[in-house]
Amino acid sequence: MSHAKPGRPIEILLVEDNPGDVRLTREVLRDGKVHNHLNVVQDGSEALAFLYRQGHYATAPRPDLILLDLNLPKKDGREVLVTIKGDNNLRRIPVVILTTSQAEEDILRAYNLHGNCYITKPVDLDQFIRIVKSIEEFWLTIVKLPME
Amino acid sequence: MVQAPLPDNEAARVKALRQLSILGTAPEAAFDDLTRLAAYICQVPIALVSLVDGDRLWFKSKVGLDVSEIRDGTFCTQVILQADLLVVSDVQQDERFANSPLVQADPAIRFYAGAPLITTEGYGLGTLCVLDYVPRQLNSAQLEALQALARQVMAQLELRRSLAELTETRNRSSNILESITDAFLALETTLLQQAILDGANYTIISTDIDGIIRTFNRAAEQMLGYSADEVVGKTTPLLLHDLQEVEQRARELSEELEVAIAPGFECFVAKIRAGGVEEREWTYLRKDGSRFPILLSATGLRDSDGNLTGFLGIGSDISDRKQAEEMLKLQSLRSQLLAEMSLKIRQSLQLDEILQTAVTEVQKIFQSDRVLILRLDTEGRGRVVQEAVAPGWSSTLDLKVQDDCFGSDYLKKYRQGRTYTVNDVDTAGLEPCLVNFLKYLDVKSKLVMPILLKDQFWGLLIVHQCDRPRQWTSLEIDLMKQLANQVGIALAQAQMLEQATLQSQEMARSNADLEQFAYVASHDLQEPLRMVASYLQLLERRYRGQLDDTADEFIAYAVDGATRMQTLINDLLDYSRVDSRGKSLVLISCSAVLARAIANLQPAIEAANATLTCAALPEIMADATQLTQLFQNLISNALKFHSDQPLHIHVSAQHRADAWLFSVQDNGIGIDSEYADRIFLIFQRLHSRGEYPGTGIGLAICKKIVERHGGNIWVESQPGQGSTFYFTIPDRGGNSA
Repeated sequence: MSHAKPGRPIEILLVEDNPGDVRLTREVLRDGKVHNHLNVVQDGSEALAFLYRQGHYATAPRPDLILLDLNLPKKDGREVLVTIKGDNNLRRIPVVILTTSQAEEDILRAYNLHGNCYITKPVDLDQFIRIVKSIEEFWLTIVKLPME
Repeated sequence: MVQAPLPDNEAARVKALRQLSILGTAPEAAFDDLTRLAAYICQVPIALVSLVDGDRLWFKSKVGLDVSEIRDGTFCTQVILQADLLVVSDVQQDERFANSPLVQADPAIRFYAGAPLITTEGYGLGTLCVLDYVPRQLNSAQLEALQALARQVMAQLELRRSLAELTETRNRSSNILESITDAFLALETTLLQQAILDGANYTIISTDIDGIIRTFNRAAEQMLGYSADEVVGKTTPLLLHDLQEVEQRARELSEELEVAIAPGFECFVAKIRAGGVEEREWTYLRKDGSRFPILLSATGLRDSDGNLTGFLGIGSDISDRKQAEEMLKLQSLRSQLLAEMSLKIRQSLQLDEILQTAVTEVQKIFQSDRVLILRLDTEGRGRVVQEAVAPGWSSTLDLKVQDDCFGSDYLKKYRQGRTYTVNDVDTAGLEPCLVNFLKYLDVKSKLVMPILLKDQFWGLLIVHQCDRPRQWTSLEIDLMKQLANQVGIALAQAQMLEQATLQSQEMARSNADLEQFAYVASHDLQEPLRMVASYLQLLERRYRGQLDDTADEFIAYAVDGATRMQTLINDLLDYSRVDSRGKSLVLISCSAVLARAIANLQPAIEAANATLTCAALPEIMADATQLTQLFQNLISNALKFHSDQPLHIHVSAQHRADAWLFSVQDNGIGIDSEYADRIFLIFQRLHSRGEYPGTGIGLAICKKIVERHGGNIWVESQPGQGSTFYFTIPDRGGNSA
């Protein structure tokens, strides 16, 4: 079931510096089952500004799901993850690490930092579509999350 | 067992060994020091001076071993056949030794390095050897040191032999003395007496009952420098003997006999008045005042009624023996000093510390005023880098020596290993400017030794005497030479350590670089690749029907290329991570590992309709992840290269010597033996991509994994007959199948 209240779209924060990936994700989510709103930031600092509603993100919504790339300009994804999971208010937001890295240490580190799941971006478009759909389905319709 | 034949001269060799009269003797510090030093330098638990007597190895000196001998024919033969340094890094792997008791039973040694002890006649008596319980290697400085120490041991043994020979001569001469005396007493003809007297190699002096010299034979004339005419009729002993020695003897005798014995003739005859012979060592004074040691046999001369009529003294020159004894003493002292100092010098692998210890110790031992080490650069410019100075003398530290008055070729001579002594700066006939230079430093006498580092001229070890001229003895010069050698070896070791450290740092850096590259490959290279592939596919999807068939085909090729490139990058990454990401080897069950590999490949196995069987597999020390990958790659290789007949894959393991031999057998298309080695190289493919897909990295990864475990991998195959891939993993414990 969806925990979103009817009428309010699910807020997704995508932290991704590659416009190609942003576009692809947007394309896939546009046809998604769940009514969602995709917020995109390009680096780690922006991501934190968004989450803490700083600067021109003062009116930013609290995301229901964060899709986080690891290798980002300025603050990288690992630092963002540390901050989110170390913050009492933010730590309950599920964070999906969506990255190209297949490095064992990245995977290990992400889980050690309490990332909720780690997904390697596939080369194949069909697989990518399947994965984004799975994320949407799993985190936004199957999983029961606390009410904020 | 490979039993080497005994050398032809075995009897002569054993004789040479027996002549040393060393077998069975108690331990001696002179040998033990050298053995300890060998163990220390080579960093091994066991070192031995081992002598080969028949089929036993008897140890004159031993460190780290309790038994004093071992019966081991195999080892004995190998050891005496050895004319040069013999190093066997793992005796269990060496067929000459593998079955020897020393290797098979306690102490079950694995490593052997021995430097032979060879007499000047070329007989191998045994070895100075170092042993370890684990296989290992020695570096070149350690090998050099082992040989140098073996030469020291041999010098000790040779001295012992000279001493044994001289003792034997002495015993023999005692017998001869007796027979001469007998003959002398028996003969009545004075003429014949004289003939015998003159022919002897011994001083023969007879006196009357009061000590007046009666006869003085030719040998006595030659050895003592007096003619018979000069001494006959004179009273002995004062003419020929050292007064102090006679006085000393008088005191001893007085005490012993509890009668006052005057320091004169009575000292020689007091004990023989009662009958018998007295044999003692004395010093004879020559006419010119010089002296030499003799062994003097004194006996009484009696008439036919048994009344004492006079005395007969027969003396043999024992200078040689005395000298040898002295030498032995000096040699022991030297070995001891050398061992002590070498230990101190070698205790450090820090260059500064080595040099500091060297100068301090040399200064202490030589009681000299200044000891310094001059480091020479490639242009021959010297700088004092370390010194020890006695209080009151100036320091030379950091002094630059570039003086022309040393002469242009003085370095060349040192480079050839010459040593240089100046006993007295004033009288040595040195160039005036050199004299001035030395006087400036208050040097009255000096001793200079080159320090060679692996045959390269490194610098000079210099001893200065400032308070007086000094006569450097050959012992001192020799000792200094050995010490300079030790410093050289210590420096070589320090240098090697430094190089090894640098190398490992370099290695760590290049590993880190490789890691970085691997990471870049896994992330940054894939990013653009994904973009290419994804957007081509998006293009295809969005504009299907609006593009023609050719466009669809082009897009398919492009997508295929991008996908393949990603596989390639991932495989390369796996390959580069075999060493860098390997986990430590732990005891694992091969059956469990194989089961996991099979599970991972289940869809492919089903697709190929293959049967997979496996024999009992052992538990071994391995990296489970890597071993899984190894089996997986070998099995998927078999799955890929199947023939028309139903595929059957069989996995088994056998124990061989000290390793497990695994095999993965299939009945696939097989490989031409020509390519058997090539297939394990990275990117080597035998088939076109159209026939069999793949990146050509799978078997290279297998090879790397097996090698990381210390084993080998190879294939035996005939085209059309299937292939069997074999690999070995050393048996480091664990349970059998």
